[in-house]
Amino acid sequence: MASAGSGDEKAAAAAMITLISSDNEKFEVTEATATLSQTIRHMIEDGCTDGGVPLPNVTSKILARVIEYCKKHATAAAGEEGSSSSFSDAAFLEVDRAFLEELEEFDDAFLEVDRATLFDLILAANYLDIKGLLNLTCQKVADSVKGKTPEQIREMYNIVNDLTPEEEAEIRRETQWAFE
Amino acid sequence: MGFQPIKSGYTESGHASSRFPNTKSPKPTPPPPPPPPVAMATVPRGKESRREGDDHISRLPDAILGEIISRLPTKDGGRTQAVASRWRHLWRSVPLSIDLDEDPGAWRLIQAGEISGILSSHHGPGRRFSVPRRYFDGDAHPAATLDGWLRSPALDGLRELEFHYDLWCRSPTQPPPPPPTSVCRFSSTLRVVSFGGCGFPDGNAGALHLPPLEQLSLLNVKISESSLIVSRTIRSIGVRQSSGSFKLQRLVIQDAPCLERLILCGQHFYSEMVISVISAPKLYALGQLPVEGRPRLEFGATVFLGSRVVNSTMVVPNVKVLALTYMDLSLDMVIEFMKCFPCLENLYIKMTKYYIESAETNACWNWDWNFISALDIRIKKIVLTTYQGNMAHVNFAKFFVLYARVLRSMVLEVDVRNDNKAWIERQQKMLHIENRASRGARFDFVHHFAQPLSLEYLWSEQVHDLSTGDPFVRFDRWA
Repeated sequence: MASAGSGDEKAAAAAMITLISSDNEKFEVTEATATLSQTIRHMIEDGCTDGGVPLPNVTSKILARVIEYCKKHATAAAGEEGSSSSFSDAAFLEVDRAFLEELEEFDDAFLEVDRATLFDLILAANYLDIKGLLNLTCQKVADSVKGKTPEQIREMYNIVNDLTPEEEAEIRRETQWAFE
Repeated sequence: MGFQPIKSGYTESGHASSRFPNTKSPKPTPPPPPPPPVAMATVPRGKESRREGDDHISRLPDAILGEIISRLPTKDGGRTQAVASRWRHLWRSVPLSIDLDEDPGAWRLIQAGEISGILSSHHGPGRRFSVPRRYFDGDAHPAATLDGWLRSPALDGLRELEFHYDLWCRSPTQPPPPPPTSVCRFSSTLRVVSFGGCGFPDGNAGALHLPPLEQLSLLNVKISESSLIVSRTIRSIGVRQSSGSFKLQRLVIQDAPCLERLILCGQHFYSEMVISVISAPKLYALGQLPVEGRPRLEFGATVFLGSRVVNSTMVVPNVKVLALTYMDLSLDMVIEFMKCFPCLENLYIKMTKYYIESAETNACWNWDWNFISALDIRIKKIVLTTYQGNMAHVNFAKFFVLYARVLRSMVLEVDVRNDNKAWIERQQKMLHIENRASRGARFDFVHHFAQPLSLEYLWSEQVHDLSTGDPFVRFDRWA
């Protein structure tokens, strides 16, 4: 359903920002997309984006995914920034149900990645300070851990148990309520 | 221009987040993270090193692992201490969240007797403490019980407090128990408060000063004339009456410069209840106003009784989103609302009368152009839930087809039996869609298969999540 899509046209006229991945690939994105990252937003505000923004912590593979997320969410976030004036932002009230559902579907599909990519996305979202993406990816990990015992968590994520049996017994004693 | 190296890996600012998107999460001040076993993924590594068998989770800095742990149900969170030595201190390093409201599955349910144990194994600070009704079952002194928990140092600096006392263990003549006195302990930190099943004592003793409060919910609460909740930072207020036994008598919103939403839920409002909005210049979303002629809602001289306008003397220009409920859809009544709220953009209307021919026809033959142009309809979006396509509904919708010049979207939510092409084509003709005043408007007949949800499940999203501008986007699911 057509909705809230007009943000793209508006943004097209706006300034473009070049992002440079750790493997030196360049990505040209609109300012609206780039500023979902607070890190990049601050750089734009400080006027340090001429000649591109090097992101030495993010590979091109991950950056491409991050940009995909930001493009999709840039319109939805139009009203979120400067929340005190959000209610007067016309676009803010235009986001409709179909768009929200589309966004949810997008997010679900976006998270269909292998574990290595998921953790790379978390690290990138953290480094770039993209709140929505960090929420989404951390929640995905939390959901996978929910209801699991320590043994199951270790097995799932290949974590080596370096606790001594005495330490483990102590933890179980101190936090008995968690293991009942 | 050079790139300023930004703290790599964990940065303290701005990304810890809560499950409640509009809540500013407390920023944990974690101990300095130990160097992660594997450096951050700065360089693409060979495929062979990216097997699923690798311990990828250990690449995350402590702060993010803590963030993940804080999203777990309480027992699950506590158990992560026994995963590995690095995990041992993480649970305690994250502010404590005890959300007893969520259902983690039967075997992990926390018993009331376990709460003290949990509180004593954490050193604080607290982020969230949410205690639903079942924890006060048959408790004759719920305020004292809650007080006992709230005094724990583990909850120091609490940001979010939600509780609902049991309603059924007292006779209606007894005054409802007060909120716990230790709420005051968190007066400088509470952002989110939900009071349930309590009564505020009269006079100054009932006054609560919560300066940083942003979200307030009053569920089956008794507030009489002079009790007060004072906050100038409040952004959303939700009031729900699902039980007739407690009577919220008067809610005065005196000085709320940041208030954006006033949301009412339920149809059990007390007939003498008054909500009076004295000053809320940013209030843009209001509803759903109940079918019954209560409560009384006052904006200065403008008065509504439920979804009826009694007096429209004062114009309220800031309201842009409105949700109404009717037995019979009345165009005259909705026009009265449009006069009170001249800048209205999104209008939601739910009809509660099913398949009974309406007494109202909404025929608009008697209106002249002067009246219509004086009305200056600015509506951009109309959603009619339970649209049946009878004469009253057709005439109502047709009015906006023909006269709403800036309309962008009209959504007619129909019953499944009308969700067919022939019926919809007939309706489109009856609505004169080809003669629409707004050429660019969309007209959608939709049917949602989802069952309405109890607002208990939708509450935080629908009432308090300010990241979605329009709280009624999923209005059809409001029970």
